[in-house]
Amino acid sequence: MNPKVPTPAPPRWAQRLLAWLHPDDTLEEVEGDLQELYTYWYGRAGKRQAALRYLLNVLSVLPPFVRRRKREKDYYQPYLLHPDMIRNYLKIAWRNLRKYPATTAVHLLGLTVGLTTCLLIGLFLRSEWLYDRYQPQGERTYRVNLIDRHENETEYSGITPYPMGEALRTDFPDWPVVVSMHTEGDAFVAISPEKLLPEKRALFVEPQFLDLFTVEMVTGNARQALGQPNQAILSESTAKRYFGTTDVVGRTFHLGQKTQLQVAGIMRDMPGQTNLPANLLVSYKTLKEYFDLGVDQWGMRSQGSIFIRLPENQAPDKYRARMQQLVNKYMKPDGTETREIVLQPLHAIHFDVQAEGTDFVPAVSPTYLWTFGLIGLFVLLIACVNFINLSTAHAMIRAKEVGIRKSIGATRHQLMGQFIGEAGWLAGGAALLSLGLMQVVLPRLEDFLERELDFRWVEVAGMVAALAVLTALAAGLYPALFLSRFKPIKALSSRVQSASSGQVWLRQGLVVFQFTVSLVLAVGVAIIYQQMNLFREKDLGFQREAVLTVDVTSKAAKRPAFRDALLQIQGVEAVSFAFGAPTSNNNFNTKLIPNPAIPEQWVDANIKIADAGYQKTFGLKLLAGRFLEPQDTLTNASGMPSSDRKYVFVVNEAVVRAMGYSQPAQAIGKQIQIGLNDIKAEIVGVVANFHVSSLHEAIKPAVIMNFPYFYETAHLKLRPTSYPSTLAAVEGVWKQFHTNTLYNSRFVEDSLQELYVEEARQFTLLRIFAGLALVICCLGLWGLSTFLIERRTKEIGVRKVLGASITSIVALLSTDFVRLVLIAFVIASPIAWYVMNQWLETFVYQIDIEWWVFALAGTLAVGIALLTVSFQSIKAALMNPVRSLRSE
Amino acid sequence: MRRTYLGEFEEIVLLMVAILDGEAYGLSVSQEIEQQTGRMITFGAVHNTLIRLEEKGFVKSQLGGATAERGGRRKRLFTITAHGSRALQDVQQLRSQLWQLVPPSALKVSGI
Repeated sequence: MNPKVPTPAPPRWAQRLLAWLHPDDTLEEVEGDLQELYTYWYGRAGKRQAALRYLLNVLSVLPPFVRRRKREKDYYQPYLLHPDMIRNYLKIAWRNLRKYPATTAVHLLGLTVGLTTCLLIGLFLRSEWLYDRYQPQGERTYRVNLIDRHENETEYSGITPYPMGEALRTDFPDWPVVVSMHTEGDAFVAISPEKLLPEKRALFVEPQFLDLFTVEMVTGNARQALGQPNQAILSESTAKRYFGTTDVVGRTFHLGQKTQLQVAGIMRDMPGQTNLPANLLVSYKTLKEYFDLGVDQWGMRSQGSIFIRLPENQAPDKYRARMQQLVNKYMKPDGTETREIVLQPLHAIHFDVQAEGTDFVPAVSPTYLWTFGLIGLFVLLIACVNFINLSTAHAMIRAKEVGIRKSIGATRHQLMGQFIGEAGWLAGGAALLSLGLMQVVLPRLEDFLERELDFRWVEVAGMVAALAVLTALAAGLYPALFLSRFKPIKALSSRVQSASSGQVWLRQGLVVFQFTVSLVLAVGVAIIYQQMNLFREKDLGFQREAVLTVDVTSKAAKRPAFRDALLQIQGVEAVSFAFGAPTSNNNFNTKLIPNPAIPEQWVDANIKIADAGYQKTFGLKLLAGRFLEPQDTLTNASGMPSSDRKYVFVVNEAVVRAMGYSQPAQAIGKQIQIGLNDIKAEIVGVVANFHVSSLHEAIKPAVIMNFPYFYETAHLKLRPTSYPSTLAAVEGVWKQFHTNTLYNSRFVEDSLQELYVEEARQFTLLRIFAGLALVICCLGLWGLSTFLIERRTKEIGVRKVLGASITSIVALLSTDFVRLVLIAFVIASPIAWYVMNQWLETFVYQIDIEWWVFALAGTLAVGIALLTVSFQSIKAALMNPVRSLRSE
Repeated sequence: MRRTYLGEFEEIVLLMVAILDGEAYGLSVSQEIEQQTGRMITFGAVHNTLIRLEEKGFVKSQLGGATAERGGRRKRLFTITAHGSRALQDVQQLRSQLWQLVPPSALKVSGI
């Protein structure tokens, strides 16, 4: 060979590619062969051709094309998934778990809690999703919704005027089914004059209801019954509740005071997953007798809904123009307002919190569901992280085991099988435990959510198994990959191995992740707590303490006597008849025209119907003029409101502002008009602003007027004497004036809290989750610190011998962990701030997020972490160095 | 007798190993095939086939014969085993048996 002519070299990157990807066993000879090939082509066809051929042939010996030389086997190697091997993996895993009982307990506890949480949340989400999915052809069923737009406000509603059902049937003959219904969510039934029971789920329906919704009859013909007036179908449990037996067909009872119903049939209880779980179905023809308030008026919307079924393969959009025609024909709004009919799919109703509806079951917001789904996953993840962290920390001990296994012939796959087997044992055990735990927790959860969850063993078991496998993989995969990678020579050498920096990073990163999640939850809890306090304590503009609300149905003529009798009671300070407390869910909303000369200009207002005692009972602050007086009441003692009678108005400051005045006194004597029968009246007084609905909404203009026809409640201001005797006396007086009616009383303060039931529930759930997350975090931290500190026993011994104090050693050992928690705090704070800000946005009246909330949560987390770690660090620091330094 | 299946390409490669008689390695086999049959083949195909033949026990290999033009890397030199040469003979024998059975008229080049 001529040394002056250098051997031509193929492209370097191609060579590297070959060296990188070609199997090691045959690399040398293949590199040589290809080099020769290149030289050969270089001589024959030049550099380009040679490079091209070289590349082509390199590709032909890369995976997946290349065949690997089998290594010569000089020992017997069992098949990876041989039953004996699987038995062996499980056996070894079992032994290892038993060898470190504390670690195993931490894992098992954490995983069980994580799995149970995840499972319960999964069950909850699934149940929510299943709402009304069982209805036949439910995807063709829609509710008729109305959208009203006025200036910046949009109102979505599933409540429609009663005549609309008939109108739809006439104008849309192509729709196969149209059903009108009326829901009665707050009534009572009278089985006998003595036996009165509250009834919160009565549903008036037309016979076509049976075409859209499943009703399983036990006895009786539903279609026939619902076609005739004064007929009712009871569910089995309702029949038992009313009569004590289900054999009641033909018996009669009263709904409310005057409507007599005959039991025409018995149906099975409706399943938990429907928005209309009626206890009794009443024929729609009975409605007029039961509820005579404007059932035939287009302007009246109370508790009526319409469900329809569309023809097959038709989209709701197709009917838009025709529905608009219907609006224009019957219920065209005046002024600048626009109104639109839209069809809402049956399955969407449960997730639509925007539209008020007639459903018995409140809708849930998808955000809420998503949040809980995520939290459940995070709790499980935190538990998985514990496993990963502790397993990798234990790696140093396991390294020797891995080394020996490898040197007696275990392959990497077998080792991975073994480690995943360990995770599998744990996840399996945790799954079984969580199934047991769920049996205990589920009934409580159902009570708490006031929902029945759909629980089927087969599906739940499937879910558990799937979650367990997922958990085993999530928790076991990384340790398995990591541990099985050890090189036997290194693992078996007597030199103590220190963890690689990458591994330490991962472990610390995971701890930070855990604490970040916990801290976000903790800050969330603190902020929701503050907001809940605001609900309790915010000045609503009226006195809410010690005011009792009692339902009244007695005749208007009897009321003065009733009032006097109530005032006779020692503990009663003031009495007022009204239509609900100042803040109430039971509101009259209508429009208010500040200047009757310009009827196009109006604002949305709340009408409070009340008598002269209202001010004293609720302590409303009068700013100008006078409040309502008894003689105002007397002038319109009975009958529907009509524009002919003479009324006077007391308004709040918001009305004054809407009229364009700055001083309350300026409004006195001015005429305004309200939407209720277009009543025009003079303002005689102005009171300070008060809240008319929950703090989700801003203070609205409110008009207080008297109108005995609508007095549905009596409000009693009680003196702070002995409540029980006063309450008993009130009930006694009430009974003298009411027969055939259910006595129903509650404190205004309690009713106010009911406005925030959903928030209270979220608060409790979040508190539980935050607690769980923190506990699992601490379990992990405890395990980790135990282990890491144990490994530093010798170091601590040396330090002590050299004169380190106990405090300095504890500090040394704790700093690492505290640092991690602090980093988590820095990451968690902005996340928590952002998320909670979003949550607070749903309230018009909100607390400010204050810095000390974060400081508190941070201090708490650091404190808990310190406490957890200190168990081990103090123990280690107190240890006698003679022991720790003694050679084995 | 148990017949080991020998694919067409395997047979050619095995024949080449026999032809090259001790000088057979990946590149030489592949070049020999190109020269003798005119077939364009990738190096990978030959490489894989040689490994497969070795797994079947038709050839055996050893490393050796490093030269400067291949950067001092060793070759893997293949030699045919007794089992391999038996297999080749079996194939040939079977072929000639089958040839005997073909009626002469069937293989006339074209109809006259």
